[in-house]
Amino acid sequence: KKQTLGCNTSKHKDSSLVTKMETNEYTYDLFVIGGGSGGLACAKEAAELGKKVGLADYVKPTIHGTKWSLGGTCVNVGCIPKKLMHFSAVCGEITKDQKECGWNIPELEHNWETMVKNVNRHIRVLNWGYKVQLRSKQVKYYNGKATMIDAHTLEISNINGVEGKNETVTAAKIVVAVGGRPTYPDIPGAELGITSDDLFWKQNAPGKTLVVGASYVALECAGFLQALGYDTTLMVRSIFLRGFDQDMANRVGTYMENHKLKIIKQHIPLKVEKTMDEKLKVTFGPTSDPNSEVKEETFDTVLFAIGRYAVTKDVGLEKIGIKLSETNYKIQVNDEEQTVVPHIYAIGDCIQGKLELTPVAIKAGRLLSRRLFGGKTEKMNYENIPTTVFTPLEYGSCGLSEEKCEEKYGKENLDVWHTHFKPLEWNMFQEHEDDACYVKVICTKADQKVVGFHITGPNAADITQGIAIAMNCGLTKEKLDATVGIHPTIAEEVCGLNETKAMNPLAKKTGC
Amino acid sequence: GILYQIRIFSKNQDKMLKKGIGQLIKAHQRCASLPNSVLFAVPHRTFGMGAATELENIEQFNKLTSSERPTILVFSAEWCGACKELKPFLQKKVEEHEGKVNLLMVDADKFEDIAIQYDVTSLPTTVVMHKGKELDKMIGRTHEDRTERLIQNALNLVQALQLVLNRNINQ
Repeated sequence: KKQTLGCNTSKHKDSSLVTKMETNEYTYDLFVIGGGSGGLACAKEAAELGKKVGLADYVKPTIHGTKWSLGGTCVNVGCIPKKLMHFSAVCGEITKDQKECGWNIPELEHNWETMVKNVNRHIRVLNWGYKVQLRSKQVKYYNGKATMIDAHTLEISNINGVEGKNETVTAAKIVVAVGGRPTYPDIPGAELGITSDDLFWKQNAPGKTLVVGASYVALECAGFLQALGYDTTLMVRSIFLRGFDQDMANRVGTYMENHKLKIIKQHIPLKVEKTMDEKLKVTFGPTSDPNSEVKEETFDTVLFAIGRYAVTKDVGLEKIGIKLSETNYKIQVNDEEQTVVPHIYAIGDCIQGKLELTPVAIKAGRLLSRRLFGGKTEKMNYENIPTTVFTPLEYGSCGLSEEKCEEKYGKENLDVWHTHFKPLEWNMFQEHEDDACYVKVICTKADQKVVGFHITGPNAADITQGIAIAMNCGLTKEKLDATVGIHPTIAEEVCGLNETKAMNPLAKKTGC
Repeated sequence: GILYQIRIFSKNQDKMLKKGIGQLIKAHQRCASLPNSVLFAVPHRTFGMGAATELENIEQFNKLTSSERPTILVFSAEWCGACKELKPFLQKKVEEHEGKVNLLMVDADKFEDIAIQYDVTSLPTTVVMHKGKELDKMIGRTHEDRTERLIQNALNLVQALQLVLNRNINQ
């Protein structure tokens, strides 16, 4: 129990005298559990503000033994390797266009081993960079598993992989940024399959692959695997990209289907078995009644991408009063990322109800440190967060889906400006579709404010970033129309929208 | 006659010496059974301490960095492209000054504690050690001249120290 000098410390919470008293008792002013996007940003910001910061990062190896170093999901088994592999796939696809542009390109073959070796090499460069950064900012980094012993005490075990090498520390404030890991289905033989955690470190080519899931992870992985030349099948339980705009999600799915991706819709896997020649036999059936029509198919690799859960179970949070959600163990926080225990906070993928994105975690982490130690009050704004699904046909969005817009404003109060378009460069290769690329801007009728932006097409991500900035400035249809387009680009389509869904449910466009 | 050349490459110097002696004995026996043959032992430039050694453990590190012969430490990593360029270059330079300098490659990921101790932030970082003291430090993959100077400075300093030592002994 803390001894006070006879004054009511709760009233003087913000006085430096009390802060000094409190922090002199603890090893650290701030301890961050988790060295991913959110954890690192939060820790570095606090250290820059002059605080004594400790950070523990621990990666439990996958069932197949895959493990990685500092940096979290994004760096090691997420955004970074994903984007590099997606890029590899896109490059392969673009070369098909080039025959008609005059390049003499032979039938291309992809070497998985070369790609993985170089992707992994780049990840290790980033791991090193983060370690050096923590050192230079004087954040004490523990490569070990941190567990709460009591509200202010943590035990860090298995330091540097050494069994029994432990250390106990205390902290005035604690931030939980443990992130998430992929879920395995509860079916026999599931452990024979891999997840995205393993895919990006898989040393030999995946061969004939089954991807189970309809999340963006599933679609992105199936997308680049197919484009790189592997016989890929996607098994989807019900809808694509739950939570996303469904019209856009279906466009993404249709594109992949038209580009040789086999999609088994409305089915779920029932069991996975190893065959005599080391392949995987998958038994599956319809979602509605799985055992009514059982089918089998054999694959070299089975990849499960059916969802993710927060890695909060063995952090010791429950015993100090922090409840975890039943379904995915996520932590409930208020709008200042604070848990029910006042000095314990949580950010990133492990918190309830927020987008699982690196920039979200980073920003939330930085703002949190500034509020805790820098005297600032700015809270994280979780609205209008732009995102992109890096499927072969990229899908970028900012703001609300059309479904959520209708729910919030009422269908009759919205104008949905839209058009199909075909990038100029796609005209050099006759097999490109006319109607794959599509953009829609959802505005409120009253003030024509843009409340939802969605686009499918090459470089969707870069286009969406600019629109997101504009939306944060209160973008309206008028402003879009008033902006001169850059020609010839894809982005200029946004400035030339002249038909709503009401006027023309289906809009096509060719030529200038 | 037939000329046999014995070349032994080994990361482990003790092993190398044992192997070398073993090979010499074998060659001698072979020679004895062949009429009109002569055994020549030709010292090869890479035979000896010239080749780069990969650090295996802390004891080896302490031994080499505190030795009479200056040791060039190269903090590197398998993912570092510039390190891959620097290594053969340094090796060549070290061979030119055969026997006078040790060359030790330290994997900064595997031996993180040592890297932190020497405040290594970017790779490659080259440190010249002599009898436990840091003589020189070079960061990155630099010019030929800088690398040559690194080795030359180390040798000059060792030579100077030796002179002073001799003078003190003789006085």
